[in-house]
Amino acid sequence: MRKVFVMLSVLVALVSTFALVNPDYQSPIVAVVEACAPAVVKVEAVKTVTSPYFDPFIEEFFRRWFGYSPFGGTQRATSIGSGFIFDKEGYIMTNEHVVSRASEITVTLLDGSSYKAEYIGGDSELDIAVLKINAQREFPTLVLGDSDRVKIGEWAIAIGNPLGFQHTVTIGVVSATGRRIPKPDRSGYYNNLIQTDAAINPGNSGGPLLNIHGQVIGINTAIINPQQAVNLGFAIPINTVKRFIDQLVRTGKAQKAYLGVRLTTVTNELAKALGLKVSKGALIVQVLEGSPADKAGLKDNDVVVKFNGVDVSSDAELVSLIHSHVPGDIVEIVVNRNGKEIKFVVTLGAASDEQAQTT
Amino acid sequence: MTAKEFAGLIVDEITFADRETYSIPANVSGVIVRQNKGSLGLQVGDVIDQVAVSGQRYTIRSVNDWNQVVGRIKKGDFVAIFAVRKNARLVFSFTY
Repeated sequence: MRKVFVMLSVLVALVSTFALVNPDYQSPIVAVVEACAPAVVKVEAVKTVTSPYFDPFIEEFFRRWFGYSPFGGTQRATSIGSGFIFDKEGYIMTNEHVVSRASEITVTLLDGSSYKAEYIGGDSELDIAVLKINAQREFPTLVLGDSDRVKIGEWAIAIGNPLGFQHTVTIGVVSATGRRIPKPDRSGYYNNLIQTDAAINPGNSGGPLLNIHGQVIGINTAIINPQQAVNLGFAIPINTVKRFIDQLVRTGKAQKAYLGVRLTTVTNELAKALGLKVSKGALIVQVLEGSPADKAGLKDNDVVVKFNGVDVSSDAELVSLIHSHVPGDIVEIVVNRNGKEIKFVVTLGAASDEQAQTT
Repeated sequence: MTAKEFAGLIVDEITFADRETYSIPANVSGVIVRQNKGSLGLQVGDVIDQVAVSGQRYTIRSVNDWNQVVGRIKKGDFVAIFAVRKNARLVFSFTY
């Protein structure tokens, strides 16, 4: 009996010794999540939607008997997104498309505490917005990283609220940088994006994309339709956001940079008509006198092919690249002039109201 | 001199009245669009000052210049029309 007991004890000891592989290992992802999740928030924005199919009788009938009207009139819809606190006073960064035209915004933290948020400011072209929550406490914050130093293949961790599942963590890598995709409403382009295969879903919008050090490298913003592709998510690089944070907090608006040119996209027809040596880019139709472009030496009929290292293939792309900078930023512009590529260093300016029609 | 119609565009010399009506600066010369029956985005009052045809650029200062240039354009040519509208330069390109 004693022998059996000893043998059983040895067996249990052996099993408990070998049952775990890497018993002391802790994934660095866990450390990032533990450090960062408290500063990630759920954003619920109530928007009033007005349907064009309005019938006062039907509206009244359904409201009276069912408490709501399914057929139009004015309805309240709630959109769910994500965000993160970047200042202990309660300033939150999110996507403008999550909170635009919201009549009421509620923010929920990981600990379950919930706050009414104030919309401080935002910009639909950049798709960034700043919210503020107030409480007699210091809020946990995230550290903003340097998206210019992001390397393809490095870990990328997304925390957000996909489909309302709060504080969902997904991981992947930085699949590419400098990506450009059209906005869903075709109003322009998202430019210079970070692409990741960390699963991004509706509700992740506005949430942070983190590196392995727990620093924010981007704001999760868009995905390719899952019916067309799997795990193609995109984040606005945090360096673009950093340029505008102070302005948004101080004034509620983003003042964007100005080059001082009129542009048109180089098409095959235009290239052949003008005898251009390139078939892709943004043609400078007019350089405005005294503008930053003029001062830097850009000329009419130059074709902009690169802006700060990013390829340019249309006027809209160049416009959104310029607008991702603030006045005073120094950028490098490569133009094709009569078949020769020339590099210019340009200090971008600030557009006055009269100049708002140009780029 | 009567201007030739091209791509639905009917143009004319710029008059003093045109300069006043459409705020055309004195240093801008060319021909003024009187009517656009085509699909190009040009508007009445725009001043066409350059036409490019398959890699060759032509300056337009008068109806005479316009007639000479459009008279040369053949089917299949690549054409770009440069115009000035309220001090802004525009370009429209197409295959004729």
